[in-house]
Parts: sequence; structure tokens; C-alpha cells
Amino acid sequence: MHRPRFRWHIAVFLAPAVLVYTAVMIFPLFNTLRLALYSKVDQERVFVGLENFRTLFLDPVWSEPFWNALGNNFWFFIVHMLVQNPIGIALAAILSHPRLRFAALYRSAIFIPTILSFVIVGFAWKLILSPIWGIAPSMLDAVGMKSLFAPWLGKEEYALTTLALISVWQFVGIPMMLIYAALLAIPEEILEAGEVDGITGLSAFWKIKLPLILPSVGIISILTFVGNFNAFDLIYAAQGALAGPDFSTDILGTYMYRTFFGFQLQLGDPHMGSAIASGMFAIILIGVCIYLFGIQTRMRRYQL
Amino acid sequence: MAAVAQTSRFGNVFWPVLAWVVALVFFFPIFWMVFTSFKTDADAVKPEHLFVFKPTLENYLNMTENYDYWRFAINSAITATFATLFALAVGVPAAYAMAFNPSRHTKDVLVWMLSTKMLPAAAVLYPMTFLTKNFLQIYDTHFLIILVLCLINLPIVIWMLFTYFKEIPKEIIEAGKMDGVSTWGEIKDILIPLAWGGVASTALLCFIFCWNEAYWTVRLTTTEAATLSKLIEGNRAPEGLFFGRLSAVSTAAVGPIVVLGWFCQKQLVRGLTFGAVK
Repeated sequence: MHRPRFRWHIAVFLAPAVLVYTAVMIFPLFNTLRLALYSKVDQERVFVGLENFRTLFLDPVWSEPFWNALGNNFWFFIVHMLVQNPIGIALAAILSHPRLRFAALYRSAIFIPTILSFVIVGFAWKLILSPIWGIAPSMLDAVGMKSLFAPWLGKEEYALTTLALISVWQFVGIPMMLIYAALLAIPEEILEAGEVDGITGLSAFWKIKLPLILPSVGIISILTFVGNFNAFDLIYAAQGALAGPDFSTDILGTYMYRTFFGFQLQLGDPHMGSAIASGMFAIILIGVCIYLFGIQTRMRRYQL
Repeated sequence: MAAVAQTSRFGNVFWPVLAWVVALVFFFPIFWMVFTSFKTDADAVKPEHLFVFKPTLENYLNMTENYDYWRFAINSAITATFATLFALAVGVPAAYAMAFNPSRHTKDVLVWMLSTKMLPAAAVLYPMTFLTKNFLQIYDTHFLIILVLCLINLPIVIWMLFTYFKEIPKEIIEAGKMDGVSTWGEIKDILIPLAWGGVASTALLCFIFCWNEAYWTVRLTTTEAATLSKLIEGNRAPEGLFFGRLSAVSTAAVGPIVVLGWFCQKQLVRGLTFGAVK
């Protein structure tokens, strides 16, 4: 076999994409990572190594909001894993029911929120949840449960969970569609074989379908993880950069944003902001690696 | 036998009803926003007019006057269209090269491009603002927004095109090569016609993402190149005051996109999951 001649036009075709991309997206990224290693002392930028990270983890002024944001971010992620993904799987199971008519219509209605931008989502939910002008108090009143209403977005103990649920509402269409596709891909013969053995209905779902769609469940878990630890827009659109009330909805994204650009009287600190950004990047990278090398390889065995 | 018939009858009623309820609940917030857009600002916040009110088109008719809607809509349309065209212009050759002339590094290039999706956008905002405002002085221009929209969607565009091109048998392209068709001819006369559906879906997906983009467009514009996202974001402050007209302008801002999205959900899912769903 002769080695194929190096084809120049291939390199030429790839070059614009790679070069432009590197220059405009990767360069700022490295710049951010680099900034994390410097600090400003007397108007002069000096190299401080990992000092910023030490400050971030150990100096109470920085570490307290950092751990708060990290904890909130984990809660945000857990709500998605416990609510969004099971609901998505359940919806997919319902929609893939062979005798269900108009499945495409239901699917669209559930999927539409995913296409909306965060500014619209924030506004649409304010119309509903606003304690004075929203529709939620009146609706609960109509069914005699007004006492259940609370200004969910304004109370420290509820705000983060409420926002996480709004985010669940927005994105549940993605796990639903993924699982839906996976369920449809299961060969009819396998299900029929189960039926012969008397496994039908719900038990068919638990014993046959669920194990077969586990790889897709893995994919939605990692997509959820990356999405949640990068989350910023929804919190910012609904609660502003201060992630109120009293920082109870502060996640890593909003904390980093405040640090970078400053808020109220505190000046922005690009170096500390970069340190937080690098931390987020590391968390996401670790999560993705665990998935790729720990979970995915193990799950391959069961793949169809 | 009787038991089987019974459960299926129960299932015949139960599942559709459940599906209806779920779909209605999910759609309600959007429905409510559209519904509110037909109320006057005064009616929109009165509990007694929650469902009973005199519908009005006034919010839509005054949209230009109240919010200068069309200026923002045109900006959105211009930036999204050109960003999509540029993304395709760069993406098609790149995806072609990777799909039909794969090398050891093809996977690396794809992962390299996707890797930036792992990074919070907020992390690059600071260098980007500094670069565009103080250094290049292209802050708040159409050019900048088109460039940014094109770049943030480029990985998905290339990735999507790559998965579509992969489905085309290599032999067809090879046959063209045998017949002495140039590389450009291969793309123009063989690849694009064959992968037309894929290219169109990718373009549509890119357009939707561009139109919806709120992070960069809000932060890199002030007036000149401000898009609909900026318009909504900038007017959310006076809570309760203008619920009617804000609902109208929000509906008008997402309307075109929701209609488009309704028709190409499958492609959307493919893009949102990086091709995991075909």
C-alpha cells in the first residue's frame, strides 16, 4: 500500500475554521487561565503562581462565597438529576407508547421551551410567579390553596430550588428527546421475546428497556452536568448579578461574573475572576473525564 | 384474557389524558405570555381580569412606538443571517475535509472545537470586552455580533455537518474523483446536493441559536447593533408596570423562532446533543 499523497487542499479547507476559532475563542480562554496566575500589586501586574487559588480556597472573604456558590451549584445539579432526567425518561416512555395518537404534538409542546432564550424564560415565569401581579396566587386562591403560595423567588429557602425547577421546565425536552430516540431504537424482537416470557407493561420497562437505554441516560447525565456547572444566564436574568435574596441563588457562574466585573462598591478583579473560571473549568473537566473513562467504557458492554 | 382487554382499555384512556395534561402544563407559561399580550397593561395586573377581559391588539400595534421593535428585529435578522452564512462557508469545507479525508487528528480537531463549549462563556467575556472595546474598537457593531455568533456556533455547525456528511457513502465522492471532478466540484455538485437536507437543517439550527443568543449580544452591544434579546433584557426592569406590552414584544421576539423550531425539532435535538440523537 502506498501512503496517500498529502492533500494540500484538505489543510486549506480546515485552516480557516481552526485558525479563526483558535484566535478568537481559544486565545481568550488561555488568556483567562493565564490571568489567574497573576495579581495586581501597586498598579503593577506580578506573577503570583497559585496564590490566587490559595486566597480563593482559604481566605474567608473569598472562600465563603465560593463554597456557598459551589454548594448551590451542586444543589442545582442534583435537582436536575432528580427531577429533570426522571421526568424526561417518564415522558419519553409515555410518548413512545405505540397506541398514543398525536405524540408529535405533545412532544413539540414539551420541547418548545428549550428553544426560548433565557430573557424570555425569565419574563414568562415572572408573569406567573410574581407575588403581586402574577397568576400563581390567584390560581391557588381559586382552588382554595392560597395559603400554599409564597414569593418563591424572593425567599432564601425556596429561591434556588424554584430557579432549578424553572430550568428543569426549560430543558426537560432534551433528555426526553434523547431517551425517546433510544426507546424507539430498541428492536421489536427483544420486546417480543420478553412478552413470550410474560414480561409486559411496566416490568418490561424496568427489566428490558431501561437497561438498554442506560448509555443514553449516561449521555444526558453528562450533558446536564456540563450545562449546570456552566449555568449563569437564568439566574442572572431572574435574580440579577447579586443572585439574591442574600446570595442564596449564587452559583459559580454568577459569582465569577461579579468578581470579574465588580458589583456595587467592590471593584472588579480579573485575576480572582480568572481563578474562579479556571476552577469551574477544572470541575467540568474532571466530571467529563470521570464520565468518559469511568462510566462510558463500562456501559459499552450493554450497548446494542 | 378479560384482564388483558381491561388493562388496555384503561391504557387507551389513561395515557392520552396524561399526555394531554403534561403537554398543557408544560406549554402553560408560554401560552400565558401570549395570552397576556392581548390585555391592556392595566388589565394584565388585575386579578379580576385574569381570564375575562376585552382582548386588544393595541400592544402589538404600538410595538414600534413603545419599543422601536423593528429596529431590533432587523438587527436580529441581519446578524443571525450573516452569522449563519459565514458559519456554513467555513464549516462546510472543514466538515468535508474531516468526513472524507479523515486523518489521525480528525477526532482531536472535533474535540478541540467542542472543548470550548465546556468553558463558561462568562470566563472569556472579560478578555473579549477588553479586546473589542479598547483594542479593536468594534464594540457594538454588526460586524462584531456576526463574528461572535458565527464563532460560538461554529463547533456545532461543523459537528452537525460532519455527522450528516458521514452518512454519505464515501464511494460516491471517490467516483467523482475518478471522473476528474475538482475538489470544489465535489463539494458543489456532489456533496451539497446529496446532503442538502443536512445542510439546510444545520443552517436552520444555527439561525435559531443565533436569534436566541442572549449572553454575548446583550453584553457586546449598546444601541447600534442591539438585537431583540437586548431589547427584552433592557426592558425587564419595571416589574408589573407594562406586563401587557412586554408580553406582546416578547411574543413577537420569539414567535418566528418558535414556529421555525416547531418544524425542525429533530435537527434541534441533534444539535443540542452534539449528534448523539440522529
